[in-house]
Amino acid sequence: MKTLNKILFILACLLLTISAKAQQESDQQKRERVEKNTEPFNPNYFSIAENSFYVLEATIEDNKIVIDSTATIAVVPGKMPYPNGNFKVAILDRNGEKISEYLMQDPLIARSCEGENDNVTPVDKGRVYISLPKNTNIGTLIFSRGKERVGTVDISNLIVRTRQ
Amino acid sequence: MKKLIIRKLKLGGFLLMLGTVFISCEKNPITLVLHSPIYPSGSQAVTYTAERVTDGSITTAKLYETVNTINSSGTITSTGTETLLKTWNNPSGDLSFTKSGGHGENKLVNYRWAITTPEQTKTFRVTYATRPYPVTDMPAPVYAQGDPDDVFDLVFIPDTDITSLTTFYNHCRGMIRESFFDEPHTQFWRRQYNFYINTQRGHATDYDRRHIDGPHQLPSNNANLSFAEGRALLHQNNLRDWASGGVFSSEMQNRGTVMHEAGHGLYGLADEYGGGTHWEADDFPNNWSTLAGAQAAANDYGNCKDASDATEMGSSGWYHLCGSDCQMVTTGLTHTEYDCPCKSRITYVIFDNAAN
Repeated sequence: MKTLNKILFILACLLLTISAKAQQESDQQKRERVEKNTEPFNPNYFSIAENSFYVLEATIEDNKIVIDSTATIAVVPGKMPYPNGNFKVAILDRNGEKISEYLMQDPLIARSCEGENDNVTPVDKGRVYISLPKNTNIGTLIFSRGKERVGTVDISNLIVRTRQ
Repeated sequence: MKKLIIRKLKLGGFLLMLGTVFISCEKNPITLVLHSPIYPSGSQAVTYTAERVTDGSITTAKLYETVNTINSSGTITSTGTETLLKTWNNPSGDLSFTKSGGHGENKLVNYRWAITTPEQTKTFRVTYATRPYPVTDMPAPVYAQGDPDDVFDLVFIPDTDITSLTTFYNHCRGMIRESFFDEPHTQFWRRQYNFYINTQRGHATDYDRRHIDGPHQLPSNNANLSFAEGRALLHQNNLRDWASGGVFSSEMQNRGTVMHEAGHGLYGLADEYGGGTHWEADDFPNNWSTLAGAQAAANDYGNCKDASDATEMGSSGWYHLCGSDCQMVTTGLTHTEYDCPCKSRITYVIFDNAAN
C-alpha cells in the first residue's frame, strides 16, 4: 500500500510538472502571438493624416460638462486610446443614432489614492478633454457612470465649426 | 484576422489561465534592454545595455543602430542606414555599449538587439528621440517599441516645480526600469509599452488644496496627448496626489504610485481599498458588486485564489479577491505586485489592445 501511495505521489508530481511546463510554453506562445499582432513603432506615425481624431475640450461647471463659448474641438495626431474606465461616452449622430461608445477615466470625479479620508470627491470646476472619432456627423454625447446618466451635450455646432 | 484570433483566444478560455501563477515564466535568460540617458541631448554619449535579470546563456548578441532625422511636422526627412555597433560571442553578465559623440539634434534613433540563446533568437527594437525634439506640440518618444494603437502609451509630463530636468529624466528612466520592467507581470509584457516625455510642463495641485489652488494645470498641448492611455504629471514637491479624466500626479520618485495609477489608466483596474473608486468591469474585473460574484470568480484563478479570499473592501459594499499587498491596494515609493485577478485583467487588455 505504501509503495502504491509512493507511485501515485510520484505520478502526481510528474503530471504537475508536465502541466506546468506545458503552461509555460503556452504562455510563451501567447506572448509571441500578441507580439506578432503588434506592428513596430513607425517614426512617421504621428504625421500620417489618417492617424487623427477629435478631442473635445469643454468646461466643468458645478460637476457638469458644459459646452460654452470656450469649448473647442481639436483634430489631434494618433488614434483614440484604448477605452478604459467607468465613465461612458455614447456618441450619437445628428439623427440620434448611436455611432459608437467609449469608456474613459471619470473626468467629473477627483480620486486620490493617498491618504485615508475623502478619497473620492466631485470636480466642481475645471476643464475636460474627451476623445471622439473623427466623424463630422456627430451630434450629441451622452455621459453615464454605470447605469446612471450624468449628462448630455450637443456638439453639432462645434463640429460644424471644426469642419470650417 | 486579428479579431478572429482574439475570439478564438476568448472562446478557448485560455485567457483565464493567463492569470495563473505561471504567467510570469519566460525562457531564460530574461533580458531587459534600455539606454541611458533615456532622453539624451544631441551631443551626449548614449549607453545601450542588455541586462540579464535571470541566469541563462547567450550564444551571440548583436547591437544595431539607425539614426533618422525628423522635422517639426513629425516627418522623417532623412532615413539612416542600419549599422552594426557591436557583436558579442558567448558573453557573460550584462552587455553594454557606449556610443560616444552623440547623435545630433532632431534625431529619432532606433536600436535593435538580436540576442541568440541556445533555444531562440530574441529581437528587441526601441526608438528614442534626442533633445531638443522638434515636433511641434508633441511629446518625445523616449522608449517606443510598438504601434501606439497596439500597445499602451504613457506620457511623463514634467511639473514646473522640478528644478533639475536631468533628475526628472533619470526618474523617467527609473519609471521604466524600476516599475514596468521590474513588476513581474508587466515585465513579462514589457514589449507592449511606449513611453514619452512631454516637451511642455504642467503643474500638479494638492488634493486637499484644490478649493484654493484649483485642479491640476495641464500642459498647453494636453489635447495632443490624448492618444496616450496614461498621462503622468510628475512633480518634485510632496503633495497628496490625485487623478481625474486620465491625468494623474505623482512625486517623480514614486514607482508604486505610478504603477497603481497605471492600473487604472492603462488596464481599467478599480481600486482595492474601501474608500476608493469601485466598479465591476464587463471583462475580467478585479472588483465585484456581490460577495457571491467574487466567490464564484475565485475559481478562475487556479490555485492562486479560492472562495475564502473574497472579502468586502472596508464597508464599501464592493468585494475583491486580491491580497493586501496587491498594487491596486498600495501606492508610494516602491511598487508591489499585481495579484492574480489584476494580472488576468492586464493580460486581457494587452491582448485586446493588440488585437483590435
